[in-house]
Amino acid sequence: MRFAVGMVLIDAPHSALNMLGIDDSLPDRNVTRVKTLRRGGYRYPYVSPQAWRYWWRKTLNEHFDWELSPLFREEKQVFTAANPLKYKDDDVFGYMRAFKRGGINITVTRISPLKNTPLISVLPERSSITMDEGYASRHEGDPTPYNQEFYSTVLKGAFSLDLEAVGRFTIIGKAGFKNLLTWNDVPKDKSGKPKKGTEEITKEIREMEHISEEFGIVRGEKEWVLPNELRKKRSAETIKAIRYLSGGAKQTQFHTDITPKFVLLMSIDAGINPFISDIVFEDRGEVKFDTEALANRLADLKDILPTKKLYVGCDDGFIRNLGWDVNKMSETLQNAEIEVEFGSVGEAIEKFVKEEIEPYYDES
Amino acid sequence: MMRVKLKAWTASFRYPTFQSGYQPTLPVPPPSTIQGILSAAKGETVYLSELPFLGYIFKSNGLGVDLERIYALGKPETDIVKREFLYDAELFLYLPDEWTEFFKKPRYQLLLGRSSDLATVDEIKRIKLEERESIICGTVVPVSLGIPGIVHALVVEYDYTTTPRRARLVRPFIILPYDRGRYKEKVQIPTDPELELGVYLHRWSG
Repeated sequence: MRFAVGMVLIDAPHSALNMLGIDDSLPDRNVTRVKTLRRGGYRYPYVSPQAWRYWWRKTLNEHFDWELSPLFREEKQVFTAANPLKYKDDDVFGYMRAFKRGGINITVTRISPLKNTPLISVLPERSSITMDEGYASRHEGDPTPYNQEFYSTVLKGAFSLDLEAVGRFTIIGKAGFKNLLTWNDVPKDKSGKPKKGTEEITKEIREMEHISEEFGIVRGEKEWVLPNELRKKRSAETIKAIRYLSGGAKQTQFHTDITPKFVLLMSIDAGINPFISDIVFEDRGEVKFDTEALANRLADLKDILPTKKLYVGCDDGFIRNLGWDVNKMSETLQNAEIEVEFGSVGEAIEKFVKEEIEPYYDES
Repeated sequence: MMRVKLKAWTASFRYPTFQSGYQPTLPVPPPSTIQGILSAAKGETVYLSELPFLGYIFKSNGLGVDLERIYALGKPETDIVKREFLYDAELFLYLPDEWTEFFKKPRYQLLLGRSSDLATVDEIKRIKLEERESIICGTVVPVSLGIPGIVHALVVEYDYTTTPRRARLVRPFIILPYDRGRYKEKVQIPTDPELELGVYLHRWSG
């Protein structure tokens, strides 16, 4: 088992990336609000985890030519194609098609190998949100007032990618692990042939078999596994896409660059993300980084860090503004016997992919 | 026994009686969520009814409401639901000693609810509970304990041999949110001396 884990910081100097809309609980129904959550007496802006995932998918589509799984509507639900062989996003982002067709259960589910938190503001509302009072006045008659919120803050997010799960499709009869339909799912008549009314299912199974031959998939009793070259490519591109992340609401008005300005990356042989703690926090209106806490945490986890190497990517201007001292960070981490690789965000990501992700598939 | 402390930025536990519209979260995880966490750590389905005992305490320091686009029943267009989630969450699990190895190296990603609720293991330590009078909160207890609170039928464990999964054991519980000031009544119970809280040890094996 191996996981690529990371943390990103997105600089949002003036943004409204994920809106709540009009808040009906307020007396003033003319305010478009940003999403916030409450902690103690404070509120913090945030971006939904689904929104982040959507940006991630779109970025893979735009920068790495991923053909995204199309959506289908059947009766009352909408599904993706649930074809992780053909559609890489079904592979990496998972799916659930809980459905019966003609009385036959064709439920397939896949737990997403890629998991991510929401993007949460480091600064609370009082030092990040502004109310913009605008007027629409290009029409005839009186100008119409409207209010909208936006924020200036740094958003932090964390993710984990299960490298072993990418390109590995289990067909075990267990919720979350039945990724594909098999011939066992097809009701048979007395002569052992698929019953009438099962044409669509058998078509789907045949198509999967056809693709699997084309791709050279190894078909076992419990799982189908893509060739390592393809798994490597899918995992590598998923991580590389972080660098080009684009999307978010209100781009016309705020033009926010959502490419991360700071990333921490490492591989770990356990299903935990060591960056989920208060490494980045607010201290009297400033965004601080607690290297000491990170070093202690990584020292604690030494047994499950295969390379004991941390990749730190940062934008010089960004950390200069925050007043972070890279040399001191490096020193503290090295004292904890963690090797640190510093570079720009792009360099850190490329290096991490090359040194930690690609070799994993070459060796396994 | 040992105590595992998990931390997550966010957590969410589906409120069983709400099917559509506003989706509140339970203030503490139901046993089935613990089943999921233990299964993810071990790498195979764990049945709580096979554990000699299990205790847990959950607390969170915040709340948010998210908007989520859904494809609602019987409507051609998409709809938006409001979904509550908890912020800054901690879960303490009280388990037999052999669980140490699974939590040192969890096989799958640990989650406090949905796939966005990524968790990390903050601490694993041996702990000795002390029998004394304490308050209990941040957990669920059986109705028979006689503590007043909201009663809910919660799934203890799911049967994962079918797709989709099916509830295998459902029991009524009293839900006790983590709120130290709210509970005055003390009961004789094994107590975590560090948290100064009673730990109800569930035994579903019998």
